[in-house]
Amino acid sequence: MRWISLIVIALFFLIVLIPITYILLNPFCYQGHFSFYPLKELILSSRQINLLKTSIFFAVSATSLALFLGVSYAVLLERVLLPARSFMAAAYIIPILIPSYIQAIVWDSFFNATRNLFYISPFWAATLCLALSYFPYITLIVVGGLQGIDQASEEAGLLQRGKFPTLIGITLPLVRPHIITGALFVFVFSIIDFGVPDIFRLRVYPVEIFVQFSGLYNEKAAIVLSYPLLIIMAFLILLQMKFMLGKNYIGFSHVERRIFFWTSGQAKFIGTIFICFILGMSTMVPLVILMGKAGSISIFVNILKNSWYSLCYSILLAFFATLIMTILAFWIAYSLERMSQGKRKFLGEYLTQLPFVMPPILLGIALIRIWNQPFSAWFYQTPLMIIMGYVAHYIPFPIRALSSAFKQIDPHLEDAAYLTTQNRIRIIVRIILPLIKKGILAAFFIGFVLSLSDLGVTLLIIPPGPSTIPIESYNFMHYGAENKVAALCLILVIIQIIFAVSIWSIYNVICPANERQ
Amino acid sequence: MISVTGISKSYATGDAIKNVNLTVDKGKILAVLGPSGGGKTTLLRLIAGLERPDSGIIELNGQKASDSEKIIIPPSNRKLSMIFQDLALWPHMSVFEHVKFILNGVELPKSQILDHATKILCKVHLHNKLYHYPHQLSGGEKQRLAIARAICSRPFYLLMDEPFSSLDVVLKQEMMDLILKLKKDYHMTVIYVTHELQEAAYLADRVVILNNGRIVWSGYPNEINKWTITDIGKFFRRHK
Repeated sequence: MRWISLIVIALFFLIVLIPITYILLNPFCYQGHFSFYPLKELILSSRQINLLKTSIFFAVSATSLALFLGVSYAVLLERVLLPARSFMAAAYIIPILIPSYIQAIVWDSFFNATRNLFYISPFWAATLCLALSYFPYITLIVVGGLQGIDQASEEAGLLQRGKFPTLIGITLPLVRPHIITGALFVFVFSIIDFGVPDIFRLRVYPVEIFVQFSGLYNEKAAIVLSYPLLIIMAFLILLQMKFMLGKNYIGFSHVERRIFFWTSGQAKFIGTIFICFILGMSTMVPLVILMGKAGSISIFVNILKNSWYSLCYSILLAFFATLIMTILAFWIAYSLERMSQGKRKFLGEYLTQLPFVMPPILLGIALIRIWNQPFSAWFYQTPLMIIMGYVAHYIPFPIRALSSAFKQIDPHLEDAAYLTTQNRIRIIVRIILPLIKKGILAAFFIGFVLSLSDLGVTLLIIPPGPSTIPIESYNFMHYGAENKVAALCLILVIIQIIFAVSIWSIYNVICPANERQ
Repeated sequence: MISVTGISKSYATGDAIKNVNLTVDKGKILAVLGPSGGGKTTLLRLIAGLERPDSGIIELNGQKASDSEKIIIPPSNRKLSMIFQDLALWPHMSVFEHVKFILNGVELPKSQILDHATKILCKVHLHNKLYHYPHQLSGGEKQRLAIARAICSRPFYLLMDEPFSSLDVVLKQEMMDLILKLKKDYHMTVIYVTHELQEAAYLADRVVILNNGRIVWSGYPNEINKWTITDIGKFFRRHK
């Protein structure tokens, strides 16, 4: 057991913590000495302040809109007796499968085509894209919170005050930690997103960092520029941890009894219309536009013929990265959940969330600087670098999914096993793994979906040779090959959907209905 | 008056309530006794309107509240309140906010809400803990807060679902005395669900025993007062 833990800690340190430490310490290194000079020089410039203002306003706008969509969806789903509830409960996951830059490509072309009818500024168009991409994360977390509310708490309000006062006064305050956590996630996602602002030509942090590094070859400026952003986000992670202390991000237990506030036909009608509107905007419109832009089947055949290698390459990279991520995340989450509350646990949880706030472009810079050395030349120019990048950036998500699964296991089940055997590995394999199989599937799903659609991390660290699908679409976009971009994006979304359906089928096989309790 | 006629309710797991008839007169306490899974909580939830009956009629003060699967009077308009087994206190609200939240729904001028809330909280001896949150209260104080929340809107009917099951003997006695006093002050009709014979005998004006969803016995507290544990065992075996 001890040696497994040591290997996991060493890998986490190498893949995740070293790049973060590099980014945090780099600005203090000036001409080989420790100095505050570069930080002072860049951090207080008016350009920096403008950039900070624009980036924060952009992320706050996207988060507010995503909050409105995500919380409304969750409340409608959990408190209105909607027709086709199971469909609606699964359908909001689809926008997660459509990467934000694909939303941006689609809506950019839509707004360009309808420019004469109505005008929407690039800022608000980008805000809409981010909100449509990220609201499902809020819905997912808030649904978990709503399912966890003690039914009697709401009934006590319903009996004496009625539906709306109970919703406003009891239900929403009880899921406040989930709402805030969802909002913080979306805020971080929005502020580090590179694809959307790049497509809409917005000068926000990730774009500026990329320009500084790739265009002006000024690595220090790129890192220093992002310093205020990193400080804000590191603080936000602390805040989010405070709100979610001991709570689950995702509910894995089967909900036996639900309480529906609204069951009338009118409520069902309004709820269904609203949900269809959200799903239409976030799923149907992008898919229809992509299909229209891609054109004939021959384009798809052509693209598939030319890009099948990239397709397989992307899938393999995402698969292996997710495999490594899930194994590491399992061990990390297990160790964290078995730690007693205290400073060590808090630090552990904090460090495992930190990679999430690192802008992917910045992470790419750190990985290049650290691993572009003679001792690591044997793997620097290989796909291992991309796998490492995916693991470093996305590992917080599988860790959170598995932590939620571990939290929902009765610790006595493990204690009972200890009374029969001292072999920990046997207990993990025979008791723990079967109990958290839903968590493992969720972790694998999240890891794969995020890795397969990654643009930010891959953009800088991809070695010469084969390309991934997002990188290929990005390149086509800059050549103006719109139909190829649309076809590639559509292929990517279809792969994601096939993957989601496969995971769902596996879930149904390994977690039969009578076990989902 | 609460009147339940031919009420039945079943779930996927089986029948919870089967053709139950009962009446509780105004200002009286009816104790519903019975073993776990006997249908006691379901009966309360049906009367509260939190569940739809499959068949039967529930009347409150002569007005139809539920008729078969139809909820005629929604729960919030039934002028009743409920004390839940786990109390269901709201962790994000202080003692005062609990009462204020309910009083906001009552037609009371805003200026009088504080006075009224303090009065109610005085009655349950919580007036010096106005700004404490549930996690800062002792077990007895939590019980008293649940009672204050339930009575502050001056409900006609109070439904109590084994509210004192987790209390020690001394606290339980104190709470039962408080309920008797409040019932007298507010002239409420109370249905008290319990599986403790002594509680039922002490509090109730009438007692019914519910087993497997049916009323198997109905009578007065002095009749069950003499029962021993062996009598109860025999009784439930007979009415299995």
